[in-house]
Amino acid sequence: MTGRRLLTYGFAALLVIWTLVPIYWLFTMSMMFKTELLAIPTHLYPHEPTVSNYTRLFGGTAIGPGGAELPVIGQAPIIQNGLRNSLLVAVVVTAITMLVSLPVAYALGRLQFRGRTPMLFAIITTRSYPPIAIILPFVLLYSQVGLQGTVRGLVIVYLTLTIPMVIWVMTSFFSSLPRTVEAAARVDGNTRWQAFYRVILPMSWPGIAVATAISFMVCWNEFVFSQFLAAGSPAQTLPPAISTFFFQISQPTEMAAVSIISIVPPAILAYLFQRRIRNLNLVDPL
Amino acid sequence: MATTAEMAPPQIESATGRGWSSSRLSDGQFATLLTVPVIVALLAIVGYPTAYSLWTSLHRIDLIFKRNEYVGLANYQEALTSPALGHALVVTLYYTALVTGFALVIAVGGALVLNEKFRGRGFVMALVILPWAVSLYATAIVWKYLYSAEWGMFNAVLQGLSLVDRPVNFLSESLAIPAVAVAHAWQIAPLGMYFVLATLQVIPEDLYKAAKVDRLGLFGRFRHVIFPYIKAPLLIVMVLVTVEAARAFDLIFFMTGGGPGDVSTTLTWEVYRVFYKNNQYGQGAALGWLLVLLTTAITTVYFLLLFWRRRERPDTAAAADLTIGET
Repeated sequence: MTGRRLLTYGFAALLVIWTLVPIYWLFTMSMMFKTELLAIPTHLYPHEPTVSNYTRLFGGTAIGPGGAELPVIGQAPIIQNGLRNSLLVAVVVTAITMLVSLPVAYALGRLQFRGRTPMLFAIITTRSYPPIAIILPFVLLYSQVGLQGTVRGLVIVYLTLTIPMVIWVMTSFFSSLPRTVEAAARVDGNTRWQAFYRVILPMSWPGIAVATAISFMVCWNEFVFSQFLAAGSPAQTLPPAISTFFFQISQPTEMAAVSIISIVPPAILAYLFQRRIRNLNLVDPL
Repeated sequence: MATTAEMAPPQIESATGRGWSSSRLSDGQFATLLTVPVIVALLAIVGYPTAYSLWTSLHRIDLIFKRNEYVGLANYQEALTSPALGHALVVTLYYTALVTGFALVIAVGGALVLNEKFRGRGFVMALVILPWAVSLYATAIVWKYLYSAEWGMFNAVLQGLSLVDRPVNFLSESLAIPAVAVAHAWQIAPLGMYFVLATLQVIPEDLYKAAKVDRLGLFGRFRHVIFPYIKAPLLIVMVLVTVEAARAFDLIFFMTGGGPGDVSTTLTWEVYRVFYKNNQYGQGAALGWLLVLLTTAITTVYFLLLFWRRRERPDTAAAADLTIGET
């Protein structure tokens, strides 16, 4: 018995290490001066921890290890602008997505009708197409109608990602509610519509919260569309800004700090909602 | 104003009342009312570019001289017969197989650990979802830094333990694809882990007791008690991961750029290369359609699996599916 317990703890430790090591390393790098990063042998933790890679992203300067002043990071305005755009796009898209998707998910999750199966299939298919395969027509279309490099353009194209995702998740949630709920509400004199928003909706806040979080994360983490539809424009979100930073004047310690910042919002959401994500089946909503 | 409206007694429309009422509709009509506007809007957003892409794939496009020539299926023929496509397909298959294999091992292993009782279990369970929250592009950056030959953590540890004399080049010709696949598996495994865990938790306690009576070892218990239960969910996770791996682009973009040489040129990267580096729009669109065909085919399998599972084991499927009411 103790042998098995030991084994369990051993594997649990392994699981934690596996999960955390990459993030630990990114964080460690972000807390180093670039001179320390190049030390031989490589330091496995910052011997001279510094937050300068973060402060220099937001307009601060810092004193380096040799006493020299480190200037503000040159790409800082682009990164800040990217952060603002990412937030704006994610919030707007998520708001529209929730309004639009909930009724559809309700129908798919609780009503029997012809066309339900094909509709589910269409939704899962739109969820699985590779953006890179259809990006070119979007680029050409967008440059014709003036949506290239605009926040509006990004919002429109992100809706095609989030709406199927949220419909998928919420269909799963709605179909998990007890079968008799609407019937009871209808007996009490509610119309179908009232049964939906007076009875079903208030029961559904847990699911709606998760779906909102997921929609936000999908937008926040999206790279391909923003790279090809908005890179280099004032509307570019954080990922293409990071891509520029990464490929042009990449200073790994500063890059690590930016990456950590990009990870924080979705990580917080995932942590807050992990119990619900675990219970809400994201893999199989049928 | 809004408050008065809310406080007004709810108007109860009876099914036989005058005027329009949603209650008069049948299930089907109500469902149509709810779904059709959104589906139509979605199709409108995706439809034009899709049609445009189809049109492009049937033409030879010349943006400079604004000449478009109809060439029928020539682009498809060219794409299908080019050696680059064969290579990209092989790379995609190899990459997909590795990601799926790694992710399944992590998902099942992690779920088995989390199904045990130990102190700190709740904490670990919350922690393991973290990689899933990390975007693919950030995953690529993190792992590129872990793999770095100059200051990467892996090489630092390997050299510190004197396991290697000189830094390993993890993104070399032979290791690039497995290295990227490990990174992808790290990011994608948590969802599968949660899914398998949900299934493990519905295995009746009696079965474990019976296994004990039969003196089954760890492996025997996995083989005879656990595996029959997680078989179906595993298949589903497998197909889902396969789609994700087949459409991977961010990781290749940030980690290898399709290289070294063309070693990691997956189908997605090939589409990108033809579109953006060579500006062969017609052929790029044709390749894009082949890629969509591939992912749609895998998705169809996934979809059929879900249905098949529903029919085969309604009891376990339903139990594993949704337990949100309990939280």
